Amino acid sequence: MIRPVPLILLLLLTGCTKSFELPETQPDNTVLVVEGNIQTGVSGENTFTLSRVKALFAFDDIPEENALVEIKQENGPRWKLPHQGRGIYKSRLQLPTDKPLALQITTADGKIYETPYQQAIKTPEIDSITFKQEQSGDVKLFVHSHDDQNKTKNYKWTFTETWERRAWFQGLYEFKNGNIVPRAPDDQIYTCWNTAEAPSFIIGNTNDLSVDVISYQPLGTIIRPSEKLFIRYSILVKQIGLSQEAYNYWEILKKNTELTGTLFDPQPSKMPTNITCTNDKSKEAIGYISVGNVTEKRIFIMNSEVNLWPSRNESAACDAFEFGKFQAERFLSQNPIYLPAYFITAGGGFGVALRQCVDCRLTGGVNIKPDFW
Amino acid sequence: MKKIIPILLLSLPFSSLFGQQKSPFDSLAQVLEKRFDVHFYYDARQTNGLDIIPAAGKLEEILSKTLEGSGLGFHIDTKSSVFIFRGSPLFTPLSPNFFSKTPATDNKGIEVVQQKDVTTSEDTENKIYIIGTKGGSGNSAVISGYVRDARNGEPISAASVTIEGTAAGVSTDAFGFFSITSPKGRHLMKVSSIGMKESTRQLNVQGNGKLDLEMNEEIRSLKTALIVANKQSNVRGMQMGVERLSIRSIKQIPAVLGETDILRSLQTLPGVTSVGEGTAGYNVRGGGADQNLLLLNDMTIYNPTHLFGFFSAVDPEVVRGLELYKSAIPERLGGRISSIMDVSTKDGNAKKITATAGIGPLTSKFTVEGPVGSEKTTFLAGGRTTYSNWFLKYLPDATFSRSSVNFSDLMLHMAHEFSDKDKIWLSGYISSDLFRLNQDSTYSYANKNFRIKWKHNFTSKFYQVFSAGMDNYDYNVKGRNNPKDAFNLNFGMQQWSAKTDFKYAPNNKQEINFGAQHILYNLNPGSQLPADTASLVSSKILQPEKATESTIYLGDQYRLNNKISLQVGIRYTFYRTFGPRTSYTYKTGLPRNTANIKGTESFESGETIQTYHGPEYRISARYLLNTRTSFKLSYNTLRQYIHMITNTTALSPTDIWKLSDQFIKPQFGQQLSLGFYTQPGDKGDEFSVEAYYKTSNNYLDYKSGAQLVLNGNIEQDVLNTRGKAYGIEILYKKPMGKLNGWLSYTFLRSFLQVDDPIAGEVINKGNFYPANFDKPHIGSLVANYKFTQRFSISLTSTYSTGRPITYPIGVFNMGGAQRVYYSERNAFRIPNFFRTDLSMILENNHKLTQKLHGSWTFGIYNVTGRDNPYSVYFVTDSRQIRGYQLSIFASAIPFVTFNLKFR
Repeated sequence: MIRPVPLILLLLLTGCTKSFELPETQPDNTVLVVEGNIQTGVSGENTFTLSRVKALFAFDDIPEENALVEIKQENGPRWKLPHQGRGIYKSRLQLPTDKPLALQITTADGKIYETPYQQAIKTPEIDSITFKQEQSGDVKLFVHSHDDQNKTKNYKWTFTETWERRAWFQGLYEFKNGNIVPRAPDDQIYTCWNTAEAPSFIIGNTNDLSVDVISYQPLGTIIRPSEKLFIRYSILVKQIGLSQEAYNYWEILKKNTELTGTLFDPQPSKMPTNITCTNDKSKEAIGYISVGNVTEKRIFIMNSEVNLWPSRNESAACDAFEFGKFQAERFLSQNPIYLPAYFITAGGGFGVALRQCVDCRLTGGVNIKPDFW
Repeated sequence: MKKIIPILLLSLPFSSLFGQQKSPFDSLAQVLEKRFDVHFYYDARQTNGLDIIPAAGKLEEILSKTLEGSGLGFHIDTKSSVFIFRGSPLFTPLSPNFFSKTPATDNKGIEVVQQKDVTTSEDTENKIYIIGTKGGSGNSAVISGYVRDARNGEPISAASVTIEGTAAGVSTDAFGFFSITSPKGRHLMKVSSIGMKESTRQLNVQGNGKLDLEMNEEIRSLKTALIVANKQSNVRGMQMGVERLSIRSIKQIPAVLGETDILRSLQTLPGVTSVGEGTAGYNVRGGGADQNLLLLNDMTIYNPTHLFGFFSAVDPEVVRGLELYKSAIPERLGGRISSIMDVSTKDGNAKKITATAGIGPLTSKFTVEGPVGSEKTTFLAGGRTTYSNWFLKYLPDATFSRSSVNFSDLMLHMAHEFSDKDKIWLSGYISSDLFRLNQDSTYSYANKNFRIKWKHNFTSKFYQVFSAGMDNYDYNVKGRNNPKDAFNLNFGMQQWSAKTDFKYAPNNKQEINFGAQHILYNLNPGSQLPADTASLVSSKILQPEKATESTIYLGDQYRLNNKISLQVGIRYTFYRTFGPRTSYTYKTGLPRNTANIKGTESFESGETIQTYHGPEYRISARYLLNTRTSFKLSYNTLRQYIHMITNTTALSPTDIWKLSDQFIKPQFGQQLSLGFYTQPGDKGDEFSVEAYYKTSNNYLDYKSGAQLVLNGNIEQDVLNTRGKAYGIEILYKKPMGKLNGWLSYTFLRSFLQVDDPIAGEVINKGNFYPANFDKPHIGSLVANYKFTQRFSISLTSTYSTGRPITYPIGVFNMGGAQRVYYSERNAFRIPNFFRTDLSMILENNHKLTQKLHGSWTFGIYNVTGRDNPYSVYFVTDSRQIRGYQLSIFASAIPFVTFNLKFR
């Protein structure tokens, strides 16, 4: 959090950046990439994603299929994580919180990758998630936490955002078999819920503080007038405590790709890893497997809780053509990219608009209300 | 005020020399003509320095006694004519030694001067100076003295002093002092220094004595650029791998934004590189940036830059010149293993008070110098300050427009001459920088130095320089981003040092240097305190580090014969770091990390924690093939007890220093170099080739994710690096003429290796990899063309191979985005570098009587506008990897400065 090296671009009047063509390079696709944590505690969902490093700008990922992925307890049982396809291995497990655990991967070509046994880190609960509207109108989100035992010190957060959004027209009718008929209430397409994973992860530590308190750790900013706050917004923050080595890994990962471009950039560092190939020392792996429980917290923000936030994007306003019912039905059958938008109460006809003005699913999101909403 | 005519100081009071009165010999001749009825024929210029001693007896006896030791002989012919002449004896058997050397002037055989009354002109060069008193033993004598600039009394260093017709030749030292051994008798002494009119003195050497000289500027020398002070030094001098730049040549090099910059000008010289434009550090012959020592009047400047490295912090107006030792570092200097830069300031005008002022787009500067009371005491004060805040306002990024910049530097220098034997100097230097970013973080750093120096001449052959002082560097970061995180971070280091240097030159063949130095280091490796009570930041104060470095040295430069000279030096350093300190002990043979801590040990105040000591050898040899060509060979070893802790490619002002302790071993370097020097033509052109091979040990690198700031146990995070570098430097210099400058080509490779299995981490599988400053091919051209005396154009052009960089070679998904997988360290290179700068200097008239002199400099930095990449980096943008290149001076930048001089 405290960074004594000025991360500034002192470019004076003339400094500039421009895009740079990377040279042709040979990918080293023997490097195994492992992402995931051993999540302890009650019904922890353990997911590991295995892939190989691919060439720069290569389009297709190289998932690592048909590996045997196991979590093992020192002098104890092993838990196998079934292969789900696309390099994903997962299982909902109830793992002990007081026993050292390790991950072992046996790839299809017979290489065995292992992590050392580690004690689970007890991650404290998230105290709160707060937001603050800046003078510019943007909304900043913060997470707060603390560890009474002053033991956690290193934290990593990920978050998932969900927000409600609406189509321009509330389409209470549908066009079915050449007729405009009322839409069933459980098939509404007016309100959708969009979900987005955080573009990256966030890390923070309290090593410089006298107490293990995370206060006002920024999570991100919602720029006004983002549609996220047109109606209602929710953020689910997941927190995990890290060991110092694991923290270093995530910090280097971040530094190597996110915090570059200043005059005083550090050299790209070699990323530490706790995954080693035990039967072929020449094989490298990327990733750092932590053991611990994950705590999470969700908050909601209503449009009314922030100032001067529009409830819809007026610049994306939709036009509609108004017809009598018969002409509307004929128009809709000839132009399938249109849908009935509204009923003209005065006169009995229908307004007809482009599909994306009526069906919220076409502009992102699902029309099924999430459980937590 | 009329200028005082410089009066030459002679050791003997022969005031009659200065007038047109009859010389004592004239009177004697008159007497003798009468007494013996003879007629004298002589050249009054040759005889006016003769000392007349009372003598009686025969004419022959009187004459031989009178002329003894003067180099003159006599002949009495049958017609009672007495001829006094210079040359070998005809009848009188004088000591054969007197005339075994070639005659002092180009007399062909015996030439009898017939004129009787030749008036000697007032010009000092037509006079004969009598050095010493007659009667001493031996056939040779030591002449010593100072060479100074007649305009302002500044000493002229590296001027060559020769006795014509003999092999004797020496160079003046930094004080302008020389000591030369000459055979007794009549001789012609020549003193030359580029840009100055060659000066000759006719001497009658009778014994050891003193002779001070003043040289006049060669008025037409405006056509020439001063590049190296000494025409002869590269071929004939013992030193190799030395670069000298005078302030005049530094000023001719076009500078970014018109700010003359001594550090940047260095980079036009072969063997000196930097990792990028606008960085503070420089690398010499493939060495690390922390392996260079910068001395400003013997004061150690830890951070010689302003504004995070954009400008050097030494005001060029106070600088006389600089010397950079790249290989054969003299035994009197040490402490860093790559190079030593010795920047000397002017002493202050001894004749009158003068001032200069300069106005540039970013800074203004002012210097004033002159005598205090008498010529014996002089002062020089120079300061510079910036008003660069204005341009921040014009930057598009709001972060900058809410930022502010301040920097300034001030140099004070005084000299006082007590007597011929004693002179003292006092120097003080302060530079400070403050940068406030976005109104919530403030970075500031400052150098503070002072030094007192005393020179004492025991004899003309033997002198001592004693100096003592303090050097201080500290920085401070105030973070105010978030009230709960508000902190103050400090780092500071201080060194007290005293040294004494003795120089003894018993004769021209030998020069002995010896001395001692003691340094006390006091280092505060960092502290962090909460800014106020609302802050949750914990106080963290690292234990101070204390150490002493004591040195003795002895060196002997010996001329075996006319062709071979040897210089052998040894320097022995003893380093001791002491408590109070508490540190961890680690299990032996295992990586030093938290898991392998065995326990702690405490050291009381003053208790020795660790000592290191060892010799450093400084050996060089010169073989003179002929008067124009020489070969040189040198071997050096060096030790360095202080390390910079940094893991950025460029140096940052917030880098910290660390003293060697029980875990961090001193750096050790050695270098073997071979050089060839020649002077083609007779216009002073020089051509040289130097090749070298260097190794270094215990240079520091860091483990992945190492925390460098406020790390009390840095030994857990460092990796010892071994280095090797080799290269060839080819330089052609044309110091004189309308068109002058230099052209150089450098081949340079520098590699590092981290393969210590105990450290727990290796880089590039433990193989050698190219260092950041490995630039195989560098070409550089500096050219000045003087159209008229008032108008000149300078051009510099540099090409170099791009520096090595670590590129991403693959991608993978992690943490919700694509991440890059990097190549082995420094496996690729950024594009090659090319830049050309141009400047035009326009001076108004050169009337010596005019009070105010103005000059304009117009220029364009980076004329071709090429956007040389400073670095290439990669970011994850909307989950995609993108490459960007960062350029600093990416377009042609015009500049203009105005300089004003008051006389």
